[in-house]
Amino acid sequence: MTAQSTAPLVLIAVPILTALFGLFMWRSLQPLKIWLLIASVVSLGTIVWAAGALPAHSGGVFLLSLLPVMAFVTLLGQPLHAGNAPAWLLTLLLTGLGFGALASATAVSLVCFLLLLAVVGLILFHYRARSGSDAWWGIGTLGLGVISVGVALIGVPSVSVVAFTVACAVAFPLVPFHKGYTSALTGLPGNLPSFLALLLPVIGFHGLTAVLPLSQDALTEAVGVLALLGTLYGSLKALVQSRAASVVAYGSLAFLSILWWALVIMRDAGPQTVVYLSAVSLATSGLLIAWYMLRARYGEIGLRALSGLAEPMPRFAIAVSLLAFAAIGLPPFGVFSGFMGLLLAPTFTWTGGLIVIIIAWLSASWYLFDLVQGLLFGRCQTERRHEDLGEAELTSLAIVLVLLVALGVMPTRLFDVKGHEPGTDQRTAVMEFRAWNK
Amino acid sequence: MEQVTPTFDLETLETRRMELRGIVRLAGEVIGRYWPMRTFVHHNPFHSLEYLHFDETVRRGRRFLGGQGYLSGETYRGYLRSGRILLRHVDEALRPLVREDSIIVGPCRIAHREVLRACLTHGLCAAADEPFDALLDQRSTEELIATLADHLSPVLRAPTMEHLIATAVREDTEALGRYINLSNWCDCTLGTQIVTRVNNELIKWCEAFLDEGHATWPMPGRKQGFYAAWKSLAAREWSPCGIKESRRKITELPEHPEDAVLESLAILGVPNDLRQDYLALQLTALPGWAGFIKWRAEQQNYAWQQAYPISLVKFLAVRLWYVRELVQQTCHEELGIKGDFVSISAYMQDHPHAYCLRKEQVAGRLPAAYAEQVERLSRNRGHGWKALADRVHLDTGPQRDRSLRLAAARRLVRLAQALDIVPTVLLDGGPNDLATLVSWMEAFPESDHGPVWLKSFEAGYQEQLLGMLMRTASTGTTARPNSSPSVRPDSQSVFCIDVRSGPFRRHLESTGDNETYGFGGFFAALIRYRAWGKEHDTEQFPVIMRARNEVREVPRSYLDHMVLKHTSRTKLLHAGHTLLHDLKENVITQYVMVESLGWFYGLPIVGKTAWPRLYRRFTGLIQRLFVPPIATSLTVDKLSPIDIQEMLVAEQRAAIRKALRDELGVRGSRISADFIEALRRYALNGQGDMEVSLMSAAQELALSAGDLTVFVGTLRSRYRIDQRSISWRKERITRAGFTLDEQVVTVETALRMMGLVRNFARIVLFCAHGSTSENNPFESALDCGACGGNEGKPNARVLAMIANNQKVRERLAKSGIEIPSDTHFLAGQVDTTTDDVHLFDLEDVPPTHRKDVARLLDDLREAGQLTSQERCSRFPEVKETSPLAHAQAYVRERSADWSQVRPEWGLAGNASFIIGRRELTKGLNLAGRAFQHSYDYREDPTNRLLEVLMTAPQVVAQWINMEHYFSAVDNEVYGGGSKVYHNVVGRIGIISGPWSDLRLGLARQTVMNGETPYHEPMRMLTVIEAPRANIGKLIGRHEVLQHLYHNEWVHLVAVDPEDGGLYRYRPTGAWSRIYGVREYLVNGKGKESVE
Repeated sequence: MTAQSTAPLVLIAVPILTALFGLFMWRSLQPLKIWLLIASVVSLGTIVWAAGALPAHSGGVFLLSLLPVMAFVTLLGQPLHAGNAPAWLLTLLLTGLGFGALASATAVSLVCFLLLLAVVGLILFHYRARSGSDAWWGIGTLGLGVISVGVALIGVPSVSVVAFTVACAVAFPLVPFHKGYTSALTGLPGNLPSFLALLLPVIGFHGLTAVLPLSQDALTEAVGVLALLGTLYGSLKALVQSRAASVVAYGSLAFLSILWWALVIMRDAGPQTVVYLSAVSLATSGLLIAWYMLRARYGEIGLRALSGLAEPMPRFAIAVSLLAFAAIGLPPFGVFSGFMGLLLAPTFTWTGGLIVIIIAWLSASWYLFDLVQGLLFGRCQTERRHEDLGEAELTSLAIVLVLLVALGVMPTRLFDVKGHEPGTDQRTAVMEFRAWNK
Repeated sequence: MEQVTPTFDLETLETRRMELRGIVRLAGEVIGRYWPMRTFVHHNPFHSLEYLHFDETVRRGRRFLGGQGYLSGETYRGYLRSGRILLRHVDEALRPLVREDSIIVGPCRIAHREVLRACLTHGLCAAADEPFDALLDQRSTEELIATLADHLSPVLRAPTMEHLIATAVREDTEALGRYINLSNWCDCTLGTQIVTRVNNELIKWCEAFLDEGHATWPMPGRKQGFYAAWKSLAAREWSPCGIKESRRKITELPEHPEDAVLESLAILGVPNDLRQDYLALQLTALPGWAGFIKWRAEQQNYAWQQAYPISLVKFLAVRLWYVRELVQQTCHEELGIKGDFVSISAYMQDHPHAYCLRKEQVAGRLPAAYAEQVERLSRNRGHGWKALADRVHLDTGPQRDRSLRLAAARRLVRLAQALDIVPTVLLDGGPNDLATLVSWMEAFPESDHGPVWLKSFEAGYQEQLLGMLMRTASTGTTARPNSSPSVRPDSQSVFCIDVRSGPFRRHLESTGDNETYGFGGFFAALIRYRAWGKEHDTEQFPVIMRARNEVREVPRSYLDHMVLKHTSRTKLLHAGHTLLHDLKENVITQYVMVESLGWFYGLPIVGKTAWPRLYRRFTGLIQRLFVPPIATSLTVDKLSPIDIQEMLVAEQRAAIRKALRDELGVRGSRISADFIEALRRYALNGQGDMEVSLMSAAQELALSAGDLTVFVGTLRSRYRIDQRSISWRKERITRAGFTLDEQVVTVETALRMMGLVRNFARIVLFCAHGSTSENNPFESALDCGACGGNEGKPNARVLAMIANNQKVRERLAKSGIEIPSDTHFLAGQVDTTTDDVHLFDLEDVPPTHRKDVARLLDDLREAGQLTSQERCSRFPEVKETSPLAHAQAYVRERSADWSQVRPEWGLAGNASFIIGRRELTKGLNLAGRAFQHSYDYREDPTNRLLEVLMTAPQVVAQWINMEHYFSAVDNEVYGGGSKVYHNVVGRIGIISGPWSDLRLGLARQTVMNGETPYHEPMRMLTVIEAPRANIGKLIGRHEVLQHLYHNEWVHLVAVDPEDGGLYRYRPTGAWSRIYGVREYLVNGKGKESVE
């Protein structure tokens, strides 16, 4: 076996095996958390180790690296509570499957993708009571994603492309296949929502970059229309939500739909798309981490039940304000530079869709600031017991912010997913698969 | 919607209207009056409720306005930690609440008193909510808490869902109309935002209607009054707030606002017995605008009110229309019921599960899964509410039980820690005993701590102040003092009672043989004043009084030749300002202005920002060069009827001469005096044919009879030469100035009241005060409250001029006040921001007194520097004592700095009012916290003067004190909020940001130093040096005093000259002697200061 073939296997194996080993520490929360944090760091180490041996289509070292980094970040801020342990173990399991979907050069990639969607669907099924009817929609959508990947594995090329696009739309959310994503972000326990906020779009985006060049014009046009609809839909839904997680989830749907639209127009996933995707996912993830910190303190309550946190929780106030700035696309954070990169890309053409994008942007500045303003300002509720962020919690949010700033200021070429000139040797796992090579 | 058309006869209708006006007046008691910003008047926001006990008023404030009436427990605990509050004072204040019970827990006995004290000092009753699904880290103490929670399980159980629902429905049904209005109910139950939407509409209309010249385009139709103007304009709006068929509905509203209010109340179905509370709730939704309307409606002579009338009834007529329409619409659409009181009450009774679950969902207290089901049931108008409530109970019941016990256990552990008991001992206590401890804590919630803390807080200050006064108070004598003391002081200066005068007086006394006195800054001159060149009068007296005389500033007679130049240049300057303003505001020219003159504005911006003091001096210099100031005098003496007649005739002749020139082009020598006189007489009296002499004179000027008739008409209509105008002018002129009797009374009252009736110095200074700051809408709050929020300069000048009048002195000598002939009275004004003193009318100082004045000026300058130095130490930015010159430069810099949010601390810190001789406070550093009024009980055998002091200056001081109190305890509700967000609106007040209620009270920066209050909010302590019996008689005579003392708005202590003892006046009306302070001073003990 060559290094090129063993590297992906090692990448998959490390997090999954550590997760399995973690089962033995099920009852000891502190050691379990430390073990899983170490496992995340080791996973990151394996990427560094295998960087040279990874296939060219692996999504770039950057996207791969984000998975263990975010596994680490989302685990770091978690309180030691028995209810969180399953989520922690699943995080590592999903990290392994994510590595498989991103880095494997063969059908293993598709299988990992399939398993990943299936696992998320199963988790959602297990916790279906937490998010009501939305859970069933989410399970259904994820089920559709699983079937679509299956069809892509065995179908004729034309069907495979469509099926795989649908599967990608489930993970990298596109209306009307977004429910799996939004349900996962709003209904899952522990750190899973904040981790999946990054994992799912990255996996879907990676698949999409492979299938996009093969798509027919009619399909891409339809996708473009859906993307604009999704942008509007996500913005409007976010405006009327009364739960912070839902606001963030639908807001990120709107922002990710913008990326769908840009991809359709450009027909190419340049480095600026990676910056944008990573930044939006990180900002979403950061806001969900922040929200979880409130949820851990005050229970599962709505936005109206909390206000005036700036006074008793100054650390939280600063962190969440900066995250909101990042999420609505203010410089120097990555969302801003990613979006500017999209607009200024040579392949980008200005169309009427920009009006929708501007509306989405304006409404985001409304609902996200409204969210933050409502939480931080107003009358401080003295009847509640307030406790500001601990060191670990603050560190986890600080890492997200540093990453967002890094995305905003670092040279875009560092995020090139292709590694080669377009049109030469950029065949992906999906393209190499037998069904499409007939 | 079905309209109610009541059919009452006219008399009944009028009775109902009158009845409604009475109800509205009572409903408006809970909101304070709001004076326009330009004459900011400190006042008690709850002045109308002073007939209630202080604590009860605070409760009403919380109920109607949502304001906190005391500082937070955490702030008080901070004072306790710093030693500002002493534990013995806490114990003393707690005594009425303590029971003699105790509980035995293991080896420890825990007394009820200890539990209550621990609740206060350790905040055990704060933050009681324990989320039932929190996921925080398990701490080391959590194990014990968990065990203790298990230990409590037999006795503590959370109420069932059914019980919670039944309680909520019962309480809310009782509260509807009393604490919650129907729009609030809709917002809380259905998640609407009716209150906000209605508020926004009312803010829009109030801003437009109440504007006093700020708006470039004023609201049309204001002369009709608020309700009619709104009706005519709102009927043209397209569906305001989404109200359907709004145009028709508004057009169909009754003409009378009272009828509209009654109609709205009928449609909303508000029961008669709840109407007052319901209307109070409506008014308190926008207490700022409603407060201003309340004030304005009471000012019948206020020009803006006369032009554009408004009242609370009109305000409510408009507000209630929006409320009723939105409530009806919402209830119909969301619940399918009528939006009235009965239907809503019935809904709560008939659908308790739906009501409570909706409410919980709107409040965000339901977990997401249930919240979504509530939304679905609401959307589909489903019937599964009870099932859902049962499911919530089943799913969350055990967690709620656990959460309740955890909260109790956490409290018990903190109690044990506060009492220095090992927490594990609690496990040895019986569950019932532990539950009793918990119930004691629950029965003393944080919201009940305020009164106890406040008393402890006040006790500390009072003990310190009374301790100081004990040093100076001595057994006096009721005999009048020696009428001819041997040594005359170098000067005597009378300052305002304002707390800021205290340090200045102390320093002035320290610079030489200068005596000082305290007196209301209006100096007994209740005048309406018009400055030279101004078009409006200012009211120079406390707002609780009325003007008696009018005074005008006029140029000194020897400067007549300069008047024309001054007037023309002032007009030119004014015209320039107006032109610039019009160009800036005009729709078209403003764009040109920006391009052409915009850069010019950069100069002042740079100047004001980089070199504020230099810039101020430079602009002052330019202004003086262009319009040189001229010396003025005041029209103090009243004119005799003959003088008035002559003056009017002269005015009319001048007007006719001007009219001939302007209207007919007839000039100079062609006009004879006889012709003018004949014209004047005919314009005033002539009805029939003209006199022959008049006709012939007209012919000489080539004027026909017709021309002359038209001209006379013009004289009457345009130049107001007719009998009616002359009567009006006479009446106005008659009010100007003082008669000799009035002058004598004014001076005598002032001198006797302050106790300055003998041993006059060669120079006596009446020193008013004002302030100078930049970019400060609250500037008038820093001026003299006793002068209606204006500078006191005119009053000081008036009193000095009167006191220098020889005729007045002769009359005063007859009544026992002999002012030596070499005593000269001077007027001056201290700038409380810069501590500079300016003296006025120095032309009138006799040459023999020049050295005296020069010495006084030196002393005043030195006192100003010392005061600046003392004040600098109180600014948060100044960390160490500044040298004198530096301190003076620093306060001047602050005064000129347009970015300075706190040019001076103003009246912040005020806490007491001392009425007595200077001997009582001389040499004491009262830290600028005491109002000081000079009063010598020996000069007041009839108590007449003390009566005035207790019912006037004390009331004003109490208003100032309460304004500061409430602005400090809850700045967001009772104060004005941060200055950073302030915008001036309508030239009447300020709002936060672009759109808000009119902000009441003082700005945050005025009372707070960062997060801690600079102004220590306490009720004022009045100390009166007078026999108790005399004070008691006055209290018995005046209801206002009974309200203040018996309802504990003010604390009263008497320094009884008969035995030199200090006596506290109890709310019961009894006096109790204060011993502890003296003991404390003598032997350092004195644990209990008051018996």
